[in-house]
Amino acid sequence: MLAIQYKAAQSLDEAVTLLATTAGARALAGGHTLLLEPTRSQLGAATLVDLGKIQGLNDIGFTRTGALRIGAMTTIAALADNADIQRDLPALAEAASQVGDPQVRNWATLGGSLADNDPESDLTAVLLALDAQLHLQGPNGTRAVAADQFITGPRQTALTQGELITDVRIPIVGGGSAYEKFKHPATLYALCGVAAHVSLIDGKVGACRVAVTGATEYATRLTGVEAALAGQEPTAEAIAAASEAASGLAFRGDPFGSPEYRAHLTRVLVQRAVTRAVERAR
Amino acid sequence: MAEQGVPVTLTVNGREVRTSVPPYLLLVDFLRDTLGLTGTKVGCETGQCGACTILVDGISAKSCAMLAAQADGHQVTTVEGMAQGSAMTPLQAAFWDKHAVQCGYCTPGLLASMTDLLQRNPDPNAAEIRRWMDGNICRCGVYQNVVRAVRQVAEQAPGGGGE
Amino acid sequence: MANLLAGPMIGAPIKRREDPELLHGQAKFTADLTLPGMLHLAVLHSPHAHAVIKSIDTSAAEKMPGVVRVFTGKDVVDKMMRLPVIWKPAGVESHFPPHPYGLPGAQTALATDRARYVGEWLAIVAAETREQAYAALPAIQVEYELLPVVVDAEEAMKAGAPQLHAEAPNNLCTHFPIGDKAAAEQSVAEAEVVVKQKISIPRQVHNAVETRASIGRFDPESGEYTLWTNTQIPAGNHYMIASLVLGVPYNKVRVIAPHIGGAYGSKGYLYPDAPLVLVLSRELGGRPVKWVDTREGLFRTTVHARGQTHYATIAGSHDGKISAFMSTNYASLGAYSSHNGPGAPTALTGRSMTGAYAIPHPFYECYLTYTNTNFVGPARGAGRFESNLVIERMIDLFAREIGMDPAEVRRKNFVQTFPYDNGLGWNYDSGNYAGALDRALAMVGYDEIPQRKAEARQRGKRLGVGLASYVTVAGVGPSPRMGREGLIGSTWGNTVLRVHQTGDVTLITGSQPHGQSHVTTFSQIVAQELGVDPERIEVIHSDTKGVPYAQGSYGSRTYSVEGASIYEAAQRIKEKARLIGAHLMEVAVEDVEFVEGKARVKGSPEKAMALPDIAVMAWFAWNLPQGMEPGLEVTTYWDPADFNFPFGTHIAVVEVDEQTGQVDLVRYVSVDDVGNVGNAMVVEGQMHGSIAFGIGPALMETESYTPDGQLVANSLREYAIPRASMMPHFELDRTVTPTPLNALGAKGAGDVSQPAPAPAILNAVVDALADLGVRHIDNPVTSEKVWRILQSAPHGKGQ
Repeated sequence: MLAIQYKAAQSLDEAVTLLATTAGARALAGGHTLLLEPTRSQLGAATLVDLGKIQGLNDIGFTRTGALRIGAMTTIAALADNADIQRDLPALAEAASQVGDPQVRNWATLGGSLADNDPESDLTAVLLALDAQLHLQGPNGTRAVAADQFITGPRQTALTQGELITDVRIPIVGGGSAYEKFKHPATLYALCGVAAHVSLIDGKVGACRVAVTGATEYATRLTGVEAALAGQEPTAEAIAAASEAASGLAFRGDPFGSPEYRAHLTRVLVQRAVTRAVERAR
Repeated sequence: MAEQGVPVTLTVNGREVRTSVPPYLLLVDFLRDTLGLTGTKVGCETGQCGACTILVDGISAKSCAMLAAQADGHQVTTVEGMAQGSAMTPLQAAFWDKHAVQCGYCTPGLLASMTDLLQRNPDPNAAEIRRWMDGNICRCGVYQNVVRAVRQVAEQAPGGGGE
Repeated sequence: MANLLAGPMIGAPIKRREDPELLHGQAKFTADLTLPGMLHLAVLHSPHAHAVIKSIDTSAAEKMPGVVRVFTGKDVVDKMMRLPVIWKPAGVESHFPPHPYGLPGAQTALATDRARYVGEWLAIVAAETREQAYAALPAIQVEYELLPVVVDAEEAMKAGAPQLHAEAPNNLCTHFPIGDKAAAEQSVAEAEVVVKQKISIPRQVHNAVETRASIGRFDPESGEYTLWTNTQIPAGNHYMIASLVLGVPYNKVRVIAPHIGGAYGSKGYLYPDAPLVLVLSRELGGRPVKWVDTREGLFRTTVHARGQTHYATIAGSHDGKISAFMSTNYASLGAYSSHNGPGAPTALTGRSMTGAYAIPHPFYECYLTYTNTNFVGPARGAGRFESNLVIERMIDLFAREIGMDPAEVRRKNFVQTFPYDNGLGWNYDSGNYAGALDRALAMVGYDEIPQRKAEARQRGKRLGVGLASYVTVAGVGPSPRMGREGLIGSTWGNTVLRVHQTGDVTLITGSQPHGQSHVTTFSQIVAQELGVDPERIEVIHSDTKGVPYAQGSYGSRTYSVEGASIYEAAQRIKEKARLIGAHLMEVAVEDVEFVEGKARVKGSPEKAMALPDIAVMAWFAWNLPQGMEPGLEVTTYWDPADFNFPFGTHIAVVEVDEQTGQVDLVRYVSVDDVGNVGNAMVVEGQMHGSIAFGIGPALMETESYTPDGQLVANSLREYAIPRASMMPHFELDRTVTPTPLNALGAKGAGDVSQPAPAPAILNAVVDALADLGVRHIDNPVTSEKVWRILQSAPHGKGQ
């Protein structure tokens, strides 16, 4: 802790330069994750590059193609309270409103939460289900990465040294979405969380994306479930049958939930999230 | 430490503070050790207990989860600055009326959280109040009386439910 | 000014005098204090549960920035004695490491040659700042030789188990049997119905939001040691530190307990830090030293609670009458005993095993062992949480076995006549147990439960209702009785009450508040009895320089013991004021009464002297009755004749999610009887706290050790504590059955209802799952545990 250095970036470009050129540099957004134990003890001699002074990273608005563009420094509370998100992306609003506790939601940011890729994060599963694109800026310019490609492993992301998330774009494609959470009783993060997005074509499941967080080492698309649902009439029986395809994953375990239990919760929450997403899609 | 410090200018309880802080210093330690504002408490290292909750620009924050350097340019309010002198805010007075204080250790954090809640929602119901306490652990068990206190503030506010 | 004459002050729900400074953030807790020249301490814990310490090299750490010195056990072992144990269970053989004074011994403040649990203190860094002290810890090099580990109380007794202390063969501290075993066995053998159940009660961690902290200062000029520490027992610490650890004159030690951020029993001990900070300050030439624990340190080294495994038997007949109850309990003290470690599993659990019931043939025995774990000690509901969980679960098991409503079984077996000797050592003072039960049943709408169950089932939820009655020993205690129990100490209450010449009042109490509102409640007694505005009553406590030897606060003793002492002091002041008043008014003593703050002539209320006028005349002492001492001050020592026994019934209503196994506590009803109360609002607050402290272990709180002695929960990320949103609105009521044992008619209230919530909730969950053949679930009833039961239920999955 004593060895930590601090730099406040005044602009995105400065932040990228600092992160790219300073050994052991890490971006500091809301702080409500990075500075808490056990992470704090592992910071070593890190230089924390504070993004809090950079302007223009917390806007929420529509792009010309109709996607919702959310600045990376948008707080979780702002996501939960945003009327456009509540209307068009209810899964995201539901997840945001259940993240941790009010203080965390007030200060933790969308970008910080994604860059951290905490296995218990509520938001990661939602962004997978909503087919979000993450826009990154780094020393070699900007690029867009799909949420599927962004999350690469346990606490691992596609971010390279010096790269920052600038915003997240989520297509508004109709259909319905929902997020179901089983809260970890100690951390209040997701012991298991499932996000679903479903479009219906003539009463049958068209496009469908389902993802899980908390239960697995990192947020993961449940492609087996998606395939099982595709083209089906979304009856309770069909959804229950599809939920059985949420298997073959590496589930996490701790004293609050063994891998077997989390696997079970995943199936239950898949049913609940898909059922509500279907209701919203109708 | 001052020579390697980070220069900061912030407002604490309405007073401008211009100083330099060690880069590693947490906001809670700055408030307690540097400014002597020991009303803000430390309870855990992991962000669960909320004893260190303060208001930053009027928004509840865990001061153990922010660096002092991050507070540069912000307005910080601690329990010492909620009311003038021996006066009490309506929320403090309601905590007193409804016995929402036992040992008092979690009280400053709860006051900050509930102040933030009432600013957003002047008329919260019991379930909303309880949910807004998710970030504050009180081991004495004052939660039910905090609900009563916040309800009292809501009911006594001009217009029956706040401003 | 409050209108004192409008109604009685005692019992009134007046607002707390304590609150303004807490609400303004001005109250100082130990960690808030800074002394000039103060150094900061960081402690090196043993990372191993059992290891020989071959060497400790502090040289690199001593060269770190800001480090002043690093102390190891070898540096202090000759400067302080081993910590004492002051509870030696009476009437049985017991085994402890030896204390030099022939007492049972606990640990040395710093380990010298062997570590016996994870977290045991090995070395301390003293540095200019807290950050520097902690930064130096990794630079201390320790060479360990690992030893085999035992963490389970029952395993520890088995042949071949790793041995912790040469003085305690088979790791056994004591075997403590009470009751007539032969008679109980015979009754069981002859009974129509016998139900047996193993009930495991895991550890609970008190987890006060404020961790422990100590500041020590040695004054080389005066030779006086001053300790600021968040202890529930300042005088107990003072005595043990001066006389049993440091071996210095009693009056060279001063202990001050600043504001305390919750204790719940966890701060009622002599811990290593308290004498250590004094020795270290002396070794550092008198520089004050400050230690503030971390949350991880708390999990490792602040006492844990519970941790008992009962093998219980209940026997009776089909008409619902219970004839015998037996339990064999295996419990661990931890690696050493805390200073009162044996108390809870022996006396408190053992003598309380029969709960609210008249059971002709009770028997209890406890095997108390050493294991490679942190100490176990009392927590809110100490010992009685465990006994009540066992008896109240067994009552429900018995009721199901004979097919009788659990409420009816309780009613049939309640103790009816008082005083009542429960056969295990308690003498219940007064009660109306059925009254509390009936009130609780009415409040919850017991008759409508079947409809509610059907309605919940429509929503995919299994609704269950669970009852738990309780009787909780309180009011520690009658000193002769505590001596017979094995306490090497005293437990009376004491008060100094002084009416100044101005009419202002100073009350010095031996009790120690940490959230229980002593200042307000005690003021109410004095205000009513002397007719003084509470604002003119100063209450002094928690500083052993000004407070005579005293007991502190624990075990729901404060209001019924210290309060009774204060009430007695007020009576003596009133009597002296009456005598002075009669003398000065030149009226016969028998014609004068002290009422409404005045010595008043009976039948002529206009002829009176107010207390301030009497006080000033007592101070002038120009004209006092023959032989009377000047001044208006008394000291009382008040020892209760016996313990008191509050009681009640709680009812929990739960809903179990059939898919996830999640248990939601949807209603909670409690009816408690603590006799007359000092402040109704404060007592309600204490009940809220006790209920929350019982819901936690019922549903989520637990600590355990891995086989190699590592803690499973080391932080609040790993240890769940119920939040506001996890609990329903508590529906409370009280009945009032005064105790005959003190003039206030008051029983203990602080932790007395804590033993009810866990069995009520467990009974409710079992009720919700009963049709699946579920008989018992150990606490905590986590979602996963319930899900596994739903999966494996003999009658198939939940529908």
